[in-house]
Amino acid sequence: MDEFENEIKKYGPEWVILLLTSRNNDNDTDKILNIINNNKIDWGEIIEQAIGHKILPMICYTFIKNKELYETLPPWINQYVRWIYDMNVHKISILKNKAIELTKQLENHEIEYAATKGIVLENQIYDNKGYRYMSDMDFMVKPEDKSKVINVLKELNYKMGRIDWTENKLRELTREEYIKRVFETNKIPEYGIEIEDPIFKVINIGFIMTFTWKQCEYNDIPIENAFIYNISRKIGIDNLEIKCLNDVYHYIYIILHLYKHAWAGYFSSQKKRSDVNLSRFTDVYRFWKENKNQLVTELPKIIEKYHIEEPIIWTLKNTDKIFNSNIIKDLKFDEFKLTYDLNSTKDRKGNLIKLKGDIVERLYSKNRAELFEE
Amino acid sequence: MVEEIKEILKSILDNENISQITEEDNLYNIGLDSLNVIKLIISIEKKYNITFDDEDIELKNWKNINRIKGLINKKI
Repeated sequence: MDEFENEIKKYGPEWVILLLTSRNNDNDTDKILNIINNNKIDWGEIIEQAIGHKILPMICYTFIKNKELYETLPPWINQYVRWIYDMNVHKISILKNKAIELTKQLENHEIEYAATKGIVLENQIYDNKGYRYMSDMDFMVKPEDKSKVINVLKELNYKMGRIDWTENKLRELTREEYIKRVFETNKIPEYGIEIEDPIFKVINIGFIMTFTWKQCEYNDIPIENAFIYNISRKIGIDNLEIKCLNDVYHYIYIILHLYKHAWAGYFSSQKKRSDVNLSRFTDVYRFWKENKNQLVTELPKIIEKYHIEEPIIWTLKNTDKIFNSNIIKDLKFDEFKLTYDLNSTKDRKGNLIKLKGDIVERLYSKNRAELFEE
Repeated sequence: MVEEIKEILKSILDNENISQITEEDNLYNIGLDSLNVIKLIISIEKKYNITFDDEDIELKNWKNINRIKGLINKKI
């Protein structure tokens, strides 16, 4: 039986095209071509799911870089594929330049920081090709530097607020939004800046001050412990570099961030975009692929040191399920018994919820309410 | 002021027994939580035309009616 044949039957060829695009192993592009040539494809379904999982630019790039694949696109979609990809490249360029500007000022004020997630991963594991979806810039700083960071943001004309998508402008946080953020003592409220760009008028920035989150039941990793090992990494513009966590700590942070979205009650909220998605799992998988040799040796030591086996192993087991990988086996975590079922989550009040179906079902589902077990 | 605070609590917690609680009773034991405390803060701010500072907003400051009274009196 071909790999993913069961998934094609259960979820459709469109879903498997998304999986193969995300996974990007050798020959995965040939497999995508094979699926398209042997199945009727609902292109609207691909677009809808790709948007929901924040991998539309990735899909577009996959089709653009391979001529044979590109020619399978219906004529009504092929030019949009180019536009979507080019817009993403443009946005990433803006974010990177803003990141350089900001980090220069942080360093001038002697504020230790680590750039995290997309702004680092785009060059490190996504080849600096501009196809990883990025909505904003993310950084990690020490809690004691919070007011200094806010002063730097203000010096650079950032204001507290979020993008208003209808007006394409920065809007102030409502009082309710602001109070919620005051309660979230692990991060600085969102700041943004309006820029002179014909398309992207607002850039948002996020600063986190812990590895974990409010009400997280697992040990936090003191930021100063991780910052000792910070490295500089090229960002993909000229030869400019920014500081980031070393690979092991960054991998742990990416995984914990995914786990937070899987377990902090987002599932039971109505905002599907906040629940786990394929993009987050793709980061976990691809980061592993690129850095496996180092992670195999170093990751277990850090996990054991901070006793964070549960969230890490839960995430990696689910990553293996999605992408048919062997991360758990390579790390020799096969025997670890999870406290929480792989197919569980929690609601906003912390009550355990068992779901029907596995992680693939959860990712695929467009109506999560149907997944609650009776 | 106590009765006004109780009225606001009644509307947020949807609990008729609020009128019987004392000024020292722990509100987090009768249904107040980190989600609806935001509504409480905003309602109090609107009622008294005040804006609390970040340190006033901490969850522990909303534990009972006595503390809430103290916060309001600091502001008006």
